[in-house]
Formats: sequence, C-alpha cells, structure tokens
Amino acid sequence: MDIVDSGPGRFVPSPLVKAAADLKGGLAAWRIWTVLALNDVRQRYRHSRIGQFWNTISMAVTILGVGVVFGYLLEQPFLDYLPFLGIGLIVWTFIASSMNELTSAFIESGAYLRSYPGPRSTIIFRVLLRNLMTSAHNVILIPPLLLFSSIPFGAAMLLVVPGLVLCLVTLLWIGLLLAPVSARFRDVPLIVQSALQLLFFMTPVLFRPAHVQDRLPLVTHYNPLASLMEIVRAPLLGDVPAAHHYIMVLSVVAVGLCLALYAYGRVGARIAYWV
Amino acid sequence: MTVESAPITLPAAGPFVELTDVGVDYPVFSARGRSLKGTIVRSVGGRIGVGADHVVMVTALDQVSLSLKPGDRVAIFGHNGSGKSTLLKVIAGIFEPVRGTVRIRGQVSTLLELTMGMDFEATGYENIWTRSVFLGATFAEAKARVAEIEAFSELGDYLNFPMRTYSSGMVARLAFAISTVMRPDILVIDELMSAADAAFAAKSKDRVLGLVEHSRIFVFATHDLAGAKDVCSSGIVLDRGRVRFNGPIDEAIVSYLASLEEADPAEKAEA
Repeated sequence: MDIVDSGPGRFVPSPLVKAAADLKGGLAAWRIWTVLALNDVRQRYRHSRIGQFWNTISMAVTILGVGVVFGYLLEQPFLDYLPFLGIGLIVWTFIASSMNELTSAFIESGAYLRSYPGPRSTIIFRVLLRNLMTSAHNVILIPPLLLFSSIPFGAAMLLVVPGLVLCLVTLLWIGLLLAPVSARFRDVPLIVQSALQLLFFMTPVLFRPAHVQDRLPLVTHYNPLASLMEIVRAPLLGDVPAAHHYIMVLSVVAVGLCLALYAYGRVGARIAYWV
Repeated sequence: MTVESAPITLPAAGPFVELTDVGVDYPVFSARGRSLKGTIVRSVGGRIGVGADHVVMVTALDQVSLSLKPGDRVAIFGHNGSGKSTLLKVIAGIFEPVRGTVRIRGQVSTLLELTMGMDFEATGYENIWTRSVFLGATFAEAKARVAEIEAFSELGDYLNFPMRTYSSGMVARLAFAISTVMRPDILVIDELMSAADAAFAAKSKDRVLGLVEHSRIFVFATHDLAGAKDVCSSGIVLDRGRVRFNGPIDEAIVSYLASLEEADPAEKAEA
C-alpha cells in the first residue's frame, strides 16, 4: 500500500518518478489489461463465424496480390520476393496499427480514465497486447511462406526475440508520448495516420533496401522505421540484421523513452480532464 | 509560500485520504481549443480573433481540505454542479488537483460510472469476471466471488444472458454486487442506489454497513437524506465548490437544507 501523492503542493515527486510509478503499477495490473485486451478482440469479432481469421485471410490475399504485381515491377524472382514481402507486411501491419491505436488509446478509453483509479498506463498495455494478439493470428502465414521458398530454419531466427522486444519498447514510448498528447489535441491521431501512410511507401516494406541503398540512404540507412523493420524481419528470413540497425533502434529508444516518460509524468492526471 | 503550515501527521497504518487546500479547475475545450493548429497559431501571435478559442476554465473545487480515516462513512451533499462528483474523483485519485495536495493510501474502488468495464454483448457471468478483475481481484479471487455475487444480485438465469437484455435496475444490481464484494480499503460511490428498486436498496444499505464494519473508508454522494442518515456517520456539504460544512451527519443535513433555501431566491432572481 503505497501512498499516492498528487497535486502541485508539497510532497509531489518529479515527472520521471511519477511516470515510473505509473508504469510499474501498470505492469502490476497485468490481469486487467489482459482481460481488457481479450475482450477487445472478442468484441470485435463476436458475431462472425471465423472472426479474427478474416484478417489473416485478407493478409494472405494481399501478400499474393501485391507479390505478383510488385514482384513483376521490381523484377524479382517470385519465390524469393514473396517471403520478404509477406513477412514485411505482417510486421509493418503490426507496427502501424499499434501506433495508430496507441495514439487514440486514451481518447477511446475515456470512460475508464474518468472512473478508474489505477495507473493510466494500464490502457497503453491493453492496446499493445490487443495488437499483439491480433497480429499473432497472421503469424501462421509465416511458416508456409518460408517452406514455399525453401528458406531453412536456422539459429539466426532466434534473433527475432530481441527484435520483437525492441519493437514493443518502441511502441511503448510512442504510446506514452502520443496517447496523452492526442487526448489534448485531437488532430494528432489524424496526423499520425497520414504520416504512417506516407512512411509505408518510404520504408523498405514493398521494396528491398538493396533497390535504393546507394541513392536514398535517408530511406534505408537513417530511417528508424527501416531499422525497426529490419531487426524483426531479417531474422525471420534467416538473416542476421546489420549491427547499425540495432544501434539506430537502441538510440532512438533511449532518447524516445526519456522524452516520453518525462512528458507522461508531466501531464499525469491531467489526462482525466481531457478525455 | 510565506506561511508554512504545520507538518501533517499521518496515521501509521491503514487507509487514509488527506486533502489539503485542494482546488480543481476544468478546462472546457471548444472544438478549436482542442486543435493543434489553433494552439500553434495562438502562440505565434493569435491572429484568429482574440478570445475566439480561449479555453474557458470552470472552478469545480476550491480550498477543500478534509481527512478521512478507517471507519469513516461520509455522505457528500450539494446542489447539482456543486462539485460532488469532482470531489469523489479527487478522493479516488482519478483527478489530480490543480492546487493543493492529495495523499491517498490504500486500494481504492469506485462506483462512479455504473457500466465501467462492462461489455453489453457479454453475459452477466462474463461481466462478473471482467469487472472483478478490473476492480483488482486475481483470477482465482474473481472465480471465488462468483457465487456470492450470484446470490446478492438475485439475477438468477439472467446471468447467462447478454447484458444488453438487462433493464437499468438489473445492471445497477449487478454492478453494485460486483463492486461491493471486493472489500476495497476505500470505496467511492456516486449516487447509484436510486437505480435499483427499494428492496435491493435496503440490501445495498446492509452491504455498505458491512463494508464499514471492516473498518474501511466509505464516501458517497447523494441527494437521499434519509438513506445517508442511515448509512453515514458524517457529512460534507459542498456549495459552489467550497466546503460549507463538514461534521456529524445530522448537522450536515441541516446545513444542506439551509443551503438549498438560500439558493432558492438566487435561482428565482436569475430566472
């Protein structure tokens, strides 16, 4: 039973301490966000027969369709290109939909924030887990893609674990930063949505980094999203990601997390007034 | 600060709530107040007519100080808009005050929005589970409490039905049953008992008294004077965001009635 202090008067801790306490409390409330995330997924597909797997079917069809056209445009051997594109689309969809939903996390959960006395990061974890669950349904497409293209399963594939962890931490800080900002400024989710649409075409998802490497380093080399994609996608394709991708993601995470924690701690319980 | 107030002594153990000179202002955003463009433009020079997108602040609470200790059963009275709900949210730790300090120790449970954490497409049983966990139960605890909630809510087979088929009284019964089975340290309720029927209201009262016996803090906002007198030991009367009276329940009711009479002529003058 910790004492919770709040208000601008005495005893009040710094933003970083407050943010850290909120995150700690949010993690401890794992049962709540697990139940909420499960309910979200269930609710979305309650009256549908195969439910969530419509997403997987739609993803499979997209991979095939885009694979045929872009494989032809980029003059790629189909069997070689398909797993790259497929895994890339699955990873991108997870990152982009998580970012979009994290941005509006507090707006859509206004009813909770106005009457739930617990840590607000519970809502962030709920949205993260919900997206992880949704994307997990697409993971069943990965083995067939690999088998189809006879990519051997190897030890490098284990690197997907640190890749995914870094990906989740990235999404966490983006959520901590943008969810409160969006609650206050309702234009932000729309801006994020448009930005992600643009970034989809500017990040190597449809095309390989090799296609533009020398001419567009901004897209492949200095693009944090490209690095984020690479450290999750490359291991799944049996490759070891280049070290600079890890350095890029780690440094962005370090800066982003500090910034996000500070901002999140600063606005604190003001969020309840905004939603 | 020129005047340093005396150090506040806190109870060594048990839940408590301590509000010191708390003030809360609500920002009321217009569509423009929420827009990023509006803020950027305004900070750059505010060319869009001055005052057109000002954020209006409403003072909901002002200079509120109170302290609650285990065993306290407090009723909060006041007109509509006197700050009752805001005060409950501050006591629950949901709202951070703009001025002053709040210190809270103990697990807080709220019954502010009746349907919080409930899914109307899901069955009563599913909602018992969800909401119990939401109120801080472990999965095992949630499971263990189903029988008690079943019995207390008296909803029988309806618990197998989706909640959208429930009447508002049934929803109130279920929500109240789940929220009070949790035995939180601090229970904060915003007048809800009116939603249930009279028989259930009597039962609810027993339940609340039971909670108090476990030496917990119970705070609730109400217009029901008789009900408050039965359940609560003390009362706080709010008037336009300020504490008008804080003391024994009988005197609180007298003060509240007096405030209603005082307000009457003013309201007539406004009309």
